[in-house]
Order: sequence, then C-alpha cells, then structure tokens
Amino acid sequence: MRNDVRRLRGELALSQGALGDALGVSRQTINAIETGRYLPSLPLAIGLARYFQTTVEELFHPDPGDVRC
Amino acid sequence: MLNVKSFCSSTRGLVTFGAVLILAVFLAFALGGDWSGAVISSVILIAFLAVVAVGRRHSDTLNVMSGLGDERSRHLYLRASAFAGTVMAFVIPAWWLVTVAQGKPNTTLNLLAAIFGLSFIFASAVLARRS
Repeated sequence: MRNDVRRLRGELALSQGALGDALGVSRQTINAIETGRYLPSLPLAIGLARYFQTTVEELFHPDPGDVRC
Repeated sequence: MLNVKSFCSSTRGLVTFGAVLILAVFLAFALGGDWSGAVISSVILIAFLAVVAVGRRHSDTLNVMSGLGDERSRHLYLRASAFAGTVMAFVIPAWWLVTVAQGKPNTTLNLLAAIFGLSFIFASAVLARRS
C-alpha cells in the first residue's frame, strides 16, 4: 500500500514530529506510515486525509491485488 | 469514574501493574522463607520496570514493550504478545512430550497446556462475539 503522506507533508514543510503531534501519534508512526511499514487504523487514515484536505482514497493507493472490487 | 481501558494504557497503569507484580513476587519468596531471593527478585523487577517506564520515551523498542504509546505501539505490542504466545504454544506441549517420553509426565506442564488451550478458546469466543 503506497501513500502520498510524505509528498503532502513536504509540500507543507512539516516535520514528521509536527504531523504526529497534530494527529496524536509519534514521529515513528508517521515515518512507518510513509515508508509503508505500518498501515494506519481507519480513524488515523481519515485524520490524515482530513489534515491534508483530501480523501482516504486519494491519499492511499493499494497495490494490485490488495482490493478485490 | 475510573476508565479501565485508558488506565491500562497509561504510565500510571504500567507502574501500578509493575508494583503489584513486584509485591507478589516479594511476598511469594518471603512466604517461602527466602528473603535474599525476595530482595534480589524485587530489585531486578524494579530495575526492569524503571528501564521500561523511563526509557520508553527514548527507545521505540521499550515503548512497544511497555504496551503504551500510540496505536502503532499498541498494535506492535499485541503482535509481540501473539508471537510470544505462539512460541509457548509449541514449547509447552513439546516439553510435556519430552517428559512423557522420559516416562515421567510433568503434571505442571499438563496444567499449563490446559490453561493455555482454554484461554485461547475463551478469548476466541469472546472476540468473535465482540468484533
């Protein structure tokens, strides 16, 4: 599962720590999400999407085979 | 009113559970008359608790070990617990089989295997209803 979190964060010149603080998670969690090592819960994914004023589907891009329909 | 879930995932909860564990270990050794064992075990547990409670702010590994932190930490803590449980699910029956093969079946291992199996069935039933 790829995502645009790093790109959008870069556009806002935000640090991982600052984004984590805004969403109530740690810097390590933001890093793990950006590198694809951790899939956030649905509430956190929605929180990320709202923070970047986009939708979850525009923020996260499943790999082929991840989604069946 | 005390929120059990948030208490369990707070530093206060971690310290409280640690203190109860330390007290239980100390009392068990003391009741057995082994005062030096009581003191040594308590000191080791206190040191371990202090390392986890203080070090978790500086180490991601200790943070996961504490079971506190954000959703990723708690998620990893659950996975680590599941891994440790899976290891024990193989070790306990295997150890018991060794004692059976030696002609001296260990009744403590029988009991541990039974408790493990029943806990797993109970948790599966409860989680299946709730989730």
